[in-house]
Amino acid sequence: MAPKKQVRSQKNAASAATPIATSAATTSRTATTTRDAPTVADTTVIVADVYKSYINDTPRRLKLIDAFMLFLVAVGVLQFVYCVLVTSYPFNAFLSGFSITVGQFVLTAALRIQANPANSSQFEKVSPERAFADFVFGSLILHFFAYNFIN
Amino acid sequence: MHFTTKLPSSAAQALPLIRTLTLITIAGAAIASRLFSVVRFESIIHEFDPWFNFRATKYLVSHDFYSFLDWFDDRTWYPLGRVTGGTLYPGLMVTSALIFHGLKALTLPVDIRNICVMLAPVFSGLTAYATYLFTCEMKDQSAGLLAAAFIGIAPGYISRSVAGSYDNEAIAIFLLMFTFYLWIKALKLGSAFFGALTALFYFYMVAAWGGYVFITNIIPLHALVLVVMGRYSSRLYVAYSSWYALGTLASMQIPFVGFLPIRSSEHMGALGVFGLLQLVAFASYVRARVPSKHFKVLVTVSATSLLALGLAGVVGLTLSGVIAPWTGRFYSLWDTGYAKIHIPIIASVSEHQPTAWPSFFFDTFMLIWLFPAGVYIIFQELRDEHLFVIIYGILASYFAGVMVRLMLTLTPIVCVCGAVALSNILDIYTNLEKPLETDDEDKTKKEEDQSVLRLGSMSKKPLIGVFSNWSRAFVLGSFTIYLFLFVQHCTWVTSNAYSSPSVVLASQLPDGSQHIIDDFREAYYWLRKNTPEDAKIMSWWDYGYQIGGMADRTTLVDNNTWNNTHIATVGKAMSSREEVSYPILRKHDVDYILVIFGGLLGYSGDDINKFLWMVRIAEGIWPDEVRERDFFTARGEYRVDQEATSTMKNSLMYKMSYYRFTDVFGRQPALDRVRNQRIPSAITDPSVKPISLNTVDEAFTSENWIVRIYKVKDLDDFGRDHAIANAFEEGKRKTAGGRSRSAPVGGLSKGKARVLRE
Amino acid sequence: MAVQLLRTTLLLAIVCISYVSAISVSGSRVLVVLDPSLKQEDYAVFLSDLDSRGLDLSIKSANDPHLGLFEFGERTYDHVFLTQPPTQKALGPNLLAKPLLDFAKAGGNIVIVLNSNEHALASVREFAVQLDVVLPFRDTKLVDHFMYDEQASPLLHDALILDPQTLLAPHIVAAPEDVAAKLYYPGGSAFALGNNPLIVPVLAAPETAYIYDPAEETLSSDSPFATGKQAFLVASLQTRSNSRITFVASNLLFSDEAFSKPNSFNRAFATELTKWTFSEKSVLKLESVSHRLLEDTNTTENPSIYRVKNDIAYEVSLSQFEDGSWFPYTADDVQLEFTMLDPYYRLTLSPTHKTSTAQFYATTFTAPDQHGMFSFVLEYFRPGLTFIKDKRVVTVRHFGHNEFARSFAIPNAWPYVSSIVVVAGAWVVFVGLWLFTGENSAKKTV
Repeated sequence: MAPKKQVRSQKNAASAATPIATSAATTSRTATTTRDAPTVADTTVIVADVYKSYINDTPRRLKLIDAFMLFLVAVGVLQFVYCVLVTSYPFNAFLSGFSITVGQFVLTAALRIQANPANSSQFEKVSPERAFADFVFGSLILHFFAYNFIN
Repeated sequence: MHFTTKLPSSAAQALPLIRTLTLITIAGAAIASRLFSVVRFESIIHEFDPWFNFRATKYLVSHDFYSFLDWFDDRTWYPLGRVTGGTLYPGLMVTSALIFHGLKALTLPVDIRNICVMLAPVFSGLTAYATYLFTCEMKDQSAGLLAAAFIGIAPGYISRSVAGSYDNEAIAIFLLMFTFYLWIKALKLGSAFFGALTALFYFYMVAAWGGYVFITNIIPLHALVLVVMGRYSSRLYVAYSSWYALGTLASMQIPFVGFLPIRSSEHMGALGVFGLLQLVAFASYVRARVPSKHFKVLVTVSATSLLALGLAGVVGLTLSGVIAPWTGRFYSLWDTGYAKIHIPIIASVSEHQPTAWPSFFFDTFMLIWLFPAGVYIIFQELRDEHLFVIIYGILASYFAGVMVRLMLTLTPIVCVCGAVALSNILDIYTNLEKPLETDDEDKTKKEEDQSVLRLGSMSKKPLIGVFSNWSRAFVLGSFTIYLFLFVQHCTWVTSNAYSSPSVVLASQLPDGSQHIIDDFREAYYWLRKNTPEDAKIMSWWDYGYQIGGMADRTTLVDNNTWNNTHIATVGKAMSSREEVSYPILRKHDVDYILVIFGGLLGYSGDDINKFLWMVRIAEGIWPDEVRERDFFTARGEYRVDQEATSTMKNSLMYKMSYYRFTDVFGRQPALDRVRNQRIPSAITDPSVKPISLNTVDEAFTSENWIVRIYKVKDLDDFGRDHAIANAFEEGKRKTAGGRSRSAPVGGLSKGKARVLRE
Repeated sequence: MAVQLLRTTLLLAIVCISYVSAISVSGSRVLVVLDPSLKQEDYAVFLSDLDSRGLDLSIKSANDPHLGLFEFGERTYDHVFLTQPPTQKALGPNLLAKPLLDFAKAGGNIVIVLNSNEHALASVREFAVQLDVVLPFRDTKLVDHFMYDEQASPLLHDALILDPQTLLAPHIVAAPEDVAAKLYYPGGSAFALGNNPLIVPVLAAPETAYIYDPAEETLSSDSPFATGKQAFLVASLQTRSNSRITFVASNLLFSDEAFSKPNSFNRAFATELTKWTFSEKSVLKLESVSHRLLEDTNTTENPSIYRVKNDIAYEVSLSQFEDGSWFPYTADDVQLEFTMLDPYYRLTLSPTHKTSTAQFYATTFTAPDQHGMFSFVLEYFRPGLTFIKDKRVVTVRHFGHNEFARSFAIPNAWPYVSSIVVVAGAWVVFVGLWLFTGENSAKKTV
């Protein structure tokens, strides 16, 4: 089983035809701009570079993942702001709501890493299909616990 | 086995079978060696905590799961009660209940007690398997089999998992090893699936044992060390993130744990490492994207600011009380003297004492010196997972040195390292053409201890050995002897030290036959049969669980020492004079007092020996009323004979222990066999006043006087002081004529008071 | 044997009869130990009063060989009226302090009447000391140079005339409405009382009285045994098990002579005092106790478990025994405590409805937000009335896991709930898209 998978993942890597270029998620962009204030000129250049290479070099699936992750970050931040500004009263609700976004985020990130053909060398035994199955498995557990915990 | 070495092709096929058989044998040996107590005594729950677990399991079996979760126990901690469902780790009970219902569904009705008694041995078999898997990840299968064999019979683990020792640790060690195995697997493969499995077993572990904090800290530590050593990989990210995100959310489902994972300092490390990993992962993305010049600027700025922010956040939250600071139990891990000063209740437990050095040898025998060798060998290879073993080894050694009880967590890693070292030695000294098969041979050798095999293998070596066959023979021979000794030692320790239920005591009669001392159960059944259903029994907390489990009576305090003040109250009642104790007893509706007294038989674990802890704990709450100093003689000795201080002699505990003790001896000197001191006897020495108890009546004393039960008297019917009433009952008449003519001085003031009252 | 048997059956019959007639809640068999020195004729009115109330008197001498308070461990009498011999003689082994205490412990009531001429016997003294009643020394007299009876003791001033308005215990003997009524104390000593909280003084000496020893001739003024209101003439004690014991300082208080004096309150006083001591009056009974959840009236009464913040209704009913039958007892000071180590509530119960025999009291309250074993404690201790004590332990449990408000029900939590739903929904969409996207080929739509 394992060798077969390896072959396939290598094929993926070839077909994807992406060099080492790993994408910086869109989140990184905002982070970069805010943190690196002193070198504004540089930053714009960097951001432009990053954006261009991202658009060009990222497989569509990864873009899909990135979109999902972005969405999760948005939901998480919204909840956190709500918690800080309004109320954290049903604390378990906040926790489950927040941790489902965090958990989903890291699981998706894991999927992204594993599915990224560029990383296939690190994951000898994990093919993208396997990775996706893992992802679904993990997510289902996560959803179950989150649902259980909110009540 | 010999065939396999000679016939490689068939050997390769037979290997899995042999391995399985070996593992089954190991599991069988592990179970069998834990049955000493059942064979020697009976199928009975041991010690203290298991009685509570047993009682809780019975509750779970007779009720449904939800009412178990909501269980409010009104038979303990009277009158506070205990939110039992929310303050226990339900994993153990749920496991037993599932087994019980599963067997019932298979039409195999087994008494729940037998399931509870046998649970620990069965799980020790599983532990052996988990250790095998874990060690296989570390070295190879031969080391795995060796480790499984070691953990199966290592006394350090047996001490907590003999049949009847129905405690959380019984299943927790299996879960510990299996979680670690899954973690290593997840890390190696970089698989979210194994990460999720790790989280699930972590959840199970959280449900089963408070020691889950060990996992909570060791995995992040491992991850942190990997990151710091520059060994960060995406695999680590996947494994750790999926474990932490799922595991933390899952662990919060346990009512007892609740919000702790984000509120207490013990769990902050895991959270911090989680955040760090996100940053590192993010940074490694960015690094690949951005020119290195920019990257450096980026990293330094963001890293420092984030670090500062995070630290400030944690410190600020801790100070403001959002995050609970380290708990006292945790402090006592760092500073062994801490507990003694601040929390005597923790220090009073013998298993929380620092470990004595011989006990390392006692509990692990030769493995303790193979352990460093194993660590060294692992260090030489130093793969990611090997770091884990090293960290685990270091941490566990330290903790085991601090607390006797944590010897338990050390034992598995000692077995693993010992097995690695030994199998390495065997690999070298039995170096044949086919290393795999030799390994296999070696381990089976160890397991079965069949000298025939060993002789056979040794006779082979001279044929192949290129140099110094003698040295090979010598090393192998000596290790064979060591292994023999190991097995012998383990068996001896198990049968002599760890197989006593402590509920039933055994002693040898002069003719060598065994004599069972069954005072505890005698007394508990007396309580069960002779006291009202709702009677409240006061005893020192050690016996709370047993009274609840065996006598089925309400207790004031028990081994779940959650309320220090309540325990101190009992301590105060025991260590004060009767006049002080009686109002406390009344306030808490105490009907009976139970004390353990070993003076007649020489049973050293009695209440007089624990008495100082009662005093200390009481002193912690009422420093003005109870003073430890008052219980020592002027020369600082703890005496119970005629030199005992008057505070000691007047304490309720002393009186209840030695009440009518001297009567047993008649004109002989009344010797306390535990403390080897003579109790002053009114019979031999007329100047001694015999101990009199005014506020309690002796209700029951067991055959060997180990358990003595006293009934608390009601208020006197006529409003008299108990001492006066008792003096009257005993016939010491107080003659009214004896009063002088000026007696009404008292009457005068009383009369005034009365006038005022009217 | 036959005689014994006969007697037992006879006693049984008497017991039955007495319960039917029910003059007293504890029975009607009275043992009157009348010392031979005291002539029965002198106390005829008193004795006939007792008899006419339906009490079954057996008048015996202390020397009677068949005198015994117990037979086969059972009380042979319900009440004892014990007088003292004038000289220092023993009362016999059956009337020592211990049997008397045992008798009271077993539910019997006792009246001890001291002899006006002599000090008390050692055994009675011992009995009194156990109850914290200090009897006077030998040959002492209570004198009062202001309120003495001029006819009876013009010289010695030891016969006093007291004002019954000064009676101390209305539940035992209420002061007469007639203010002119006098209480004659024809001579004798007085005793002092200790600190025993169970003692209820009934009659104290006047402020100007003191105890003195005529034999000493001089007044040992520096240490009189007791003076003024510290000297008591009549005092009662109710044990915790509601047996009643009364000490009377002089037998003459009950004599026909004292009864027949002008405006004498003595007869009524004797009647009320013996009625009280023999449990014929001021006897309370807890008819019923119940507690339940407030909202559902039809659930089982007296559940053993409540939950924190439950509304609890508590109801008791009290009866009073008076003149042979039970009546409602009405008061406004009946209190309930809801206690765990310390009272969490102390509520005064308000009278609600009454039946022909009992008065109901009720209150409602909300269980405190503290779990544990709580007790409903009803303690109604009033001097002269039967002690009412009732303690019922119930468990107050914490909220069950399903008794908290669900997150759906809390508006605050809606953002969180919706986020979970949204995340789960987005996840499904994502999974679907992922599967459809396939190998990089399909177009991306989000």
